[in-house]
Amino acid sequence: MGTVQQQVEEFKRDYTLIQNEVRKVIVGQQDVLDGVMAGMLGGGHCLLEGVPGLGKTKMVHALAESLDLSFSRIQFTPDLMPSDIIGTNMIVEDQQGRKHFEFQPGPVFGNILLADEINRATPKTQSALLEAMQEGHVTVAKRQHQIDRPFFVLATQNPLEMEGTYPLPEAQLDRFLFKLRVPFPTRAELHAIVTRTTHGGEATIQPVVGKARIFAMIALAAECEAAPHIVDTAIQIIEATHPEHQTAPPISKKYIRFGASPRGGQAIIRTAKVLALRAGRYAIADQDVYDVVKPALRHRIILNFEGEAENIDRDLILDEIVDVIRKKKRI
Amino acid sequence: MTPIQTVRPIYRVIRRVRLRMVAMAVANRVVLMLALGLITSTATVAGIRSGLVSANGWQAIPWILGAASVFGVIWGLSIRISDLIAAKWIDDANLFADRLGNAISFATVTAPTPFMVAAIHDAINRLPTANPAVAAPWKRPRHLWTLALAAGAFASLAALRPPLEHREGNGFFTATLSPPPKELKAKLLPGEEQELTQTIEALRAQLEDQTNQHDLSETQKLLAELKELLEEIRAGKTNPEDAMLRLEDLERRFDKWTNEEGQKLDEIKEKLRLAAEKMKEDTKALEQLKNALDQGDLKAAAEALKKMADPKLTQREKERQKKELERLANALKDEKTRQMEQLKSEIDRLQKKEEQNRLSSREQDRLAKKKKELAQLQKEKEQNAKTNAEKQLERLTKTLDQAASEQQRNQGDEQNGEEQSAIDRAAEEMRRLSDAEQQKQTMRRMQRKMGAAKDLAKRSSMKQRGGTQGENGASQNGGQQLGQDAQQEQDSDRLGQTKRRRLEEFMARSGSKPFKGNGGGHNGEKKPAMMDGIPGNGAKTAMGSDPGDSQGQQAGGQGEGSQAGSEPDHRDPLGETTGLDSKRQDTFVAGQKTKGPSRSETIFGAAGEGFAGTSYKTVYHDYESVIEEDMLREQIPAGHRRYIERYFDIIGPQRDQ
Repeated sequence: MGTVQQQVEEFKRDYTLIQNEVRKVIVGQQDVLDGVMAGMLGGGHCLLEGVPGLGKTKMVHALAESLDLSFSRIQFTPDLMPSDIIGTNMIVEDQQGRKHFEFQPGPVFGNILLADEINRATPKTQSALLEAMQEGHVTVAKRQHQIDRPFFVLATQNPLEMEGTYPLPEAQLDRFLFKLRVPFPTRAELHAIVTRTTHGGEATIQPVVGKARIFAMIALAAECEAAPHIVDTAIQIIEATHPEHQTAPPISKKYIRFGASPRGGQAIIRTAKVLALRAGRYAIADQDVYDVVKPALRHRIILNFEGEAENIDRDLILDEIVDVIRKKKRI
Repeated sequence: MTPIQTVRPIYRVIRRVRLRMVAMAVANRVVLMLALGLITSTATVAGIRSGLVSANGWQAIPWILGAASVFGVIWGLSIRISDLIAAKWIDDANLFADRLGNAISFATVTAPTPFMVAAIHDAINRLPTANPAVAAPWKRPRHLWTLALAAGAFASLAALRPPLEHREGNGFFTATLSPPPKELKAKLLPGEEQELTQTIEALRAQLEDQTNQHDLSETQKLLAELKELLEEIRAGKTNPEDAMLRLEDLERRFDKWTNEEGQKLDEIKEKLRLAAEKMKEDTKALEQLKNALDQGDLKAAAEALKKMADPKLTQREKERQKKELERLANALKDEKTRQMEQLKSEIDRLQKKEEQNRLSSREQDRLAKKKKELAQLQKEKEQNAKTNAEKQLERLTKTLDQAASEQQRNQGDEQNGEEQSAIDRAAEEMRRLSDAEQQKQTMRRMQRKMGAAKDLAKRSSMKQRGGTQGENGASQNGGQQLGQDAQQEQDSDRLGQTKRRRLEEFMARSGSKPFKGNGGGHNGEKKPAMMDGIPGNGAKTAMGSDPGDSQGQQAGGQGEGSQAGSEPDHRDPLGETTGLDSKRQDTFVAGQKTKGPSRSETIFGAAGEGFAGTSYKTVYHDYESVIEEDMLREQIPAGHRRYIERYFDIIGPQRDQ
């Protein structure tokens, strides 16, 4: 282990390596990829929201391959049971012919788990996954089974379909570090996608970073410093999302019913640190905080009736809050 | 090297930036304050120009500007810019991503982590590229345009016309800002001079008339001053402002005098009424006198007194009249007069005794004492300045007394020429009092005319200042109207009879009862302005001019009703005078185009206009249980349940409901 400067340089290098590898198969979606990596290196899980066919699964798959980590995918359906995810005890016969119960781990036991269309499973199954996400272990027949680290859940949900879906309650959404919106690609990106995928012969992704290195990157991100006045910026933003708070701007008071939880503040700082290291800095800046506010908080604020009726975009509220705080910090 | 020592170069850059920020803040605030100071000064100059502020206001302007500048400097210096804010400005301007701010923050930590140390060194390494000029660039003060506009407004207002009064010895500011006075005559435009002169001439004529009729010493003084003012205006020795000030002074004195006279006259009328209550109605003339005094009709009282001198009256009637006149005279006497009369009779009695040498030493002392008291009372009476009305009352009382005593003396004498003369004099005094009553009303109208003349002088003064002549015609017409009105006032008594006759004819034509009055003069319009006693809208009736004369044909302003003539009869068939507040002005209310209410506003608006008597919270909780039961009973798809629950969740009562 070298000096801090060397460690940060290595972080930057590896980060770029991973991104470049993923870019072999993914066109555009830079913000989503940055968000996924920030969430992952920040030690959290990400929820990706977007219409089908935008390359969500592909991106996650490519990321897992480039990281040389085990990858599992669960396609959530209404009849999916918790045991289908976490695994179950099965009767097995040993060499002596004796039978005994042995735990057969489910797909949750992987380093990177893609929970595709998580809102299609019943709340019971969702809860089983969310327990694993939060605790990092599963409990079967009174026995805890640790999930191998690092463990990242990248869940996707389709915003269009309502029939036969079970949207995640706000309390469970709070457990995702980031909620990323996968936008429709631009014309140029679309052109590149079509050209690249219809040419024949797909690019192969090589693992560029190993498990140990991932651990090191996560640990380094946690060590990155956050000066008190920068942490204060994050706290001010969290406070501003609470309509009853005196510093809340009018838009919060008008449209928000419940503001972000303290987990939102944690998410902001943890992911901002990744952005700082990615830029080769040793401490986070206000701009890092502003950059992660939307993915970190958009699923943590609950709109009131007026907000729902007006179909107010949460990002709009967060943009205004950031503007208010940014101006306040300049004076 | 400790972290604090390491970050010293950062603090140096921060200080430089902070200095620039403070300098800019001072400049901004000084400019703002100066702009405000200039706006205030402009208002002051405007006040001086309009006469609301005295010319000494010029002296305040330098003080205002000086104070504004000093306040701006102090205000600017008072701002506190923290190191973090200054560092933030440098970081943002030089794209340092909060490196300097983080460094000075980490430098205060006693046990810095390797990352903190690395962050500090990173900031130090970036420092040479930090440019304070980029961080806090010099910008033009924000309110410079406001200052320029305010300065422009001030300069144009100050240069528009120099101060009216040039006061020497008021300091160098007045000396420099106030040019020497110009030729006063040049300020008066021909039309305005004519207008002002005409108005004051009308006033003077009216006042002279009143003075000749009633021996009014105070009005004589006023008249003399008015004449002097008129001559000065004609000779061009005064300007409208001086004329205005002098008219103001005259008006004030006139008001005081008129109010005092009016009050005394009311008191006298009340005194006469009370005195009449004690009278007996033994003869027809006495009955008339009592009734007239009771109603406050002094003219009728004078007529009744004249009838008392009728030679056809019997001796008995004369005796009764004598008694009642004595009673009336006694009732009118004030306390001092009574005391003086008692003293005089006592002195007469004692003096008669003295002539007969029957006066004891005690009585001699008493006589001396009474004489002294009488002298004292006479002195007091002379010292107390009496109003014209009081003098008239005194004369009336005296003549009534004389009439009574002479009647007694001439009882049984057929040659009662002297008695008739005293009664006649009493009647004349009563008539004068009646005239004074009319004069009171005339004086009140003159008061208004004097105010109008003053306003005219003021308008002339303001118009000259502004250099505008657009109002010339209007004000001239107004002045002519004032002059004509004043002239009409003089003629009102004469013309009242004519108007009354016309009015009676009109009433007869319209089928109404004839008007009982003695001269409420209303000039005619080309068509009647009133039907059945309802005043017409838009018809103007001027005071006491002949029907069909030039004034009478003018179109009147809206809502201007008729005014009573010289007769104090309140039963004006043309109705009460329309108040000025009856004027109406149409107001156009412009609407504003908007997108209209949002969905939530529509929903909330409908709810807000309802008549719910139960709180939403209560209703919601009642229905919440019903919803749950229904959801259990009904076969709702599992995926829909969540949305139903969510729907009812979001329409649930807010915390503040």
